[in-house]
Amino acid sequence: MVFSSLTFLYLFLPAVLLLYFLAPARLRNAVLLGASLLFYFCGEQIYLLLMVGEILVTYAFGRLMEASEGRKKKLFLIVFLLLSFGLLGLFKYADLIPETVNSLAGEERLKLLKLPLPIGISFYVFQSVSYGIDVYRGKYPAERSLPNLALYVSFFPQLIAGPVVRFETVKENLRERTYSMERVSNGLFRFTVGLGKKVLIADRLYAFCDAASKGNPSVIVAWAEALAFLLYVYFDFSGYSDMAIGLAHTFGFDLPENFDHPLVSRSFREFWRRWHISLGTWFRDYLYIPLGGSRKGLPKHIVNLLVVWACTGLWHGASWNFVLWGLSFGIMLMLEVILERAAGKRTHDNAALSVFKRGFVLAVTVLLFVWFRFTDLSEATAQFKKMFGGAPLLSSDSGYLLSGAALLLAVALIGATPLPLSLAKKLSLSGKGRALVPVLRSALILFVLVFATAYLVDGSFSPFLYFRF
Amino acid sequence: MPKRITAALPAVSFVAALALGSISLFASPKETWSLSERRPLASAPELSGKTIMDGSWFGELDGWMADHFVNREEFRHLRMLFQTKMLREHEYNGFIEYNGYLINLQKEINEDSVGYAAERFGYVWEKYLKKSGGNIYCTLVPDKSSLVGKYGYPTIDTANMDKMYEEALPFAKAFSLRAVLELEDYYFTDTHWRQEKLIPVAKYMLETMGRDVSLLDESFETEEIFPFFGVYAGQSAMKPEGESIRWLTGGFIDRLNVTDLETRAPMPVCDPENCDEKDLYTLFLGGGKGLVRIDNPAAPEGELIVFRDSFGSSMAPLLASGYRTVYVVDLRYAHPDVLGRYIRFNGQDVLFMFSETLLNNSRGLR
Repeated sequence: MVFSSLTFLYLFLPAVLLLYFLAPARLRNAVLLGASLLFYFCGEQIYLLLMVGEILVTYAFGRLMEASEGRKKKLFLIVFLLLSFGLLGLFKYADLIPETVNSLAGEERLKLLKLPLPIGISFYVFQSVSYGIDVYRGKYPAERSLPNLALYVSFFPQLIAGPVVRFETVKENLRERTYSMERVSNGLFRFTVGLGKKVLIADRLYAFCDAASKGNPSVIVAWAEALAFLLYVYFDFSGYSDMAIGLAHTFGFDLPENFDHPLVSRSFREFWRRWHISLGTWFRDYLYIPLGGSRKGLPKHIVNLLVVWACTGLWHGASWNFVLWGLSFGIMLMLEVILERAAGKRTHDNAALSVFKRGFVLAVTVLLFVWFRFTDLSEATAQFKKMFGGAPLLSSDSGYLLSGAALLLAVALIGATPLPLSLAKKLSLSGKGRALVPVLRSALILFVLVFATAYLVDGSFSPFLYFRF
Repeated sequence: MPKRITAALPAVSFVAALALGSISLFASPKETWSLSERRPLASAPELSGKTIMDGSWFGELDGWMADHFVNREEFRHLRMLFQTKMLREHEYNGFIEYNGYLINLQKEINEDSVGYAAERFGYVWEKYLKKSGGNIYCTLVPDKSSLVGKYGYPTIDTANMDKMYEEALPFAKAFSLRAVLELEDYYFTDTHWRQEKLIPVAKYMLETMGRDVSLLDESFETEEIFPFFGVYAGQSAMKPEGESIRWLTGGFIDRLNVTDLETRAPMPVCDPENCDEKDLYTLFLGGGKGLVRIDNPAAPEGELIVFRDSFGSSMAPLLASGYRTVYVVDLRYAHPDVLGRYIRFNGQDVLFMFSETLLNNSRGLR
């Protein structure tokens, strides 16, 4: 089940909200856990057992690691990591090497397992692993309550598309939560904003990408298509994160932010501090720093960067295009490190340089996301060719395609900057504006719900991109 | 406003909207047919242990909800408005509106479909026409979308489409209707052409086939039904105004004898009383009929066999001005194997007249 579906909006969500707020406080976790398991079951049925298995393994090994010392504790950690990553490896990556060998050989030399990818497996395995490692490190005690841990791993607002939440973030929320009408309003408003980003913007951007790819090739349209794809991924994924954060907020949980206007970044390091923040910090804390980070000299630093970014790419999908995508970002970050070391760190950029840097980072990011789009590398290469002169500057249908998408692209570009948020903040701080905010929020909620429903009633296409992960 | 009320307003709006949608969805009476899309609506998914465990119940539930959502047509219209008026996109589900004409843009040639049609035409040729002799012609009826290509809209490569059609009928002499048809010859809300505009086109076709056209110079009247909402009116969700559907009467048309060959029963040229009221274009020549014969005692000697789709329903009576007998065959309803039972193929003129739309979606041909 996806959030942007009629089943979720008009059946599942009202039922869960009703049950949750009618239930006495001591039963609310049970309501959420039951809803989360049902939510997953609706999409995956038998694979629910996999998630339950991962929860039991995480719980058991957390307790075992806490109760042991030294080598035994380490052994428990290793076994736990092997089981968790083994699950991920089996269901997500088992066919990567055989597929590659078969593709290189031009015939089927190795048999493929062809296991369907369980929805959200990368998210719940990473959450479980972070919990296990933190318990091993003694950051916090193992959770005594199995239902609480189960709720942490399976919490439906963020189960299938993140953010990747740390246990320490929600530990207190699992035991005690505060409620207020303002909190519920804020949560539902945030959810609605995310729904609008997904259904009214991201899906339209995808439709443009699709139309552009079928039109007569031209350089300008190829660039617009690549930009639209980056914007699509941003609105799709950040929209989902908004919905997850908003729903969790409604239920009394405070999840971490996952996006912070990454498309206005002035460097690639800044971009990754603003894009999929929960995944970036996961890799930083559980891979980059344990590898030595930047502390062991430039060559080791570079190697660490490349390892982390290859893994980040691979996390997004069992396909070499994702590895290339991750490594490309790794290389850009590496170049930044080298340049900074050579030139010294600048403390202040003037306006022109700042604009140039933002434009440069955006342009390169648009290019790098071409790898992200096509699992078939030849399609990615064809797209690059179109963008760099392998097609006429404009073709017969370029004007039609571009004029039909101009407003959408403009709205998306402006929407990806902090401008709308800062205007809303200004309004809420002004005297008259403050009184208007709840009314405007209500109007926006109704607008988005009506038009998103219109799309859902009429449309069959609305898959979440990040389901694949 | 008190702070408690203002704080609650967004939450109340959200919950009220969802509650309204949920309650009305489940409480409203359910339709079984979508008139606007000309398709059956999804039936309620079967709830059983098997459908739950294989996920099909959950999968079908969303489709059922989409089909039966209260005020579904209004929501479709809202989506169209959001997309074309607010986002200023050109198309909604592939539809555009140009000067009031609703047009479903066909941008790509479906080569598999053209190949399939070629195979079916080839079958007819091998089975009947090869031995029969006679002149064989083919012409393609342009879709409205082909006619707006000159105004900057993306459309199929018409030259290539014509070439592929000709290659699909290598035994026929091809002639083009592109120069004699304009957008005004078609309905605003429907895919079809307007019979009352077709006399010059019919003349052109008959002259090309070397036939006399004098009967087409008689004076005709038109009758009409208003309002007519064509098939695009609902599909496009644009809520267009109704238009008139008109048919020609008088002159030789009133003297035509039409027979449904499968039932051997006489039938009117146009039958506004008994046509499908959901699809008024079926008033022409009985709508979906596999085999019809039109006899025109006033026409010169000669027979014509027209292999056609629905565009032929309004054109065939006009072509009967040039032939004593016209056989009208729709291969979607009549299998080629049965044609020999109703038609003696013995050197008649043959015309393959299909629309671009059918050629691009030919799987229905038998």
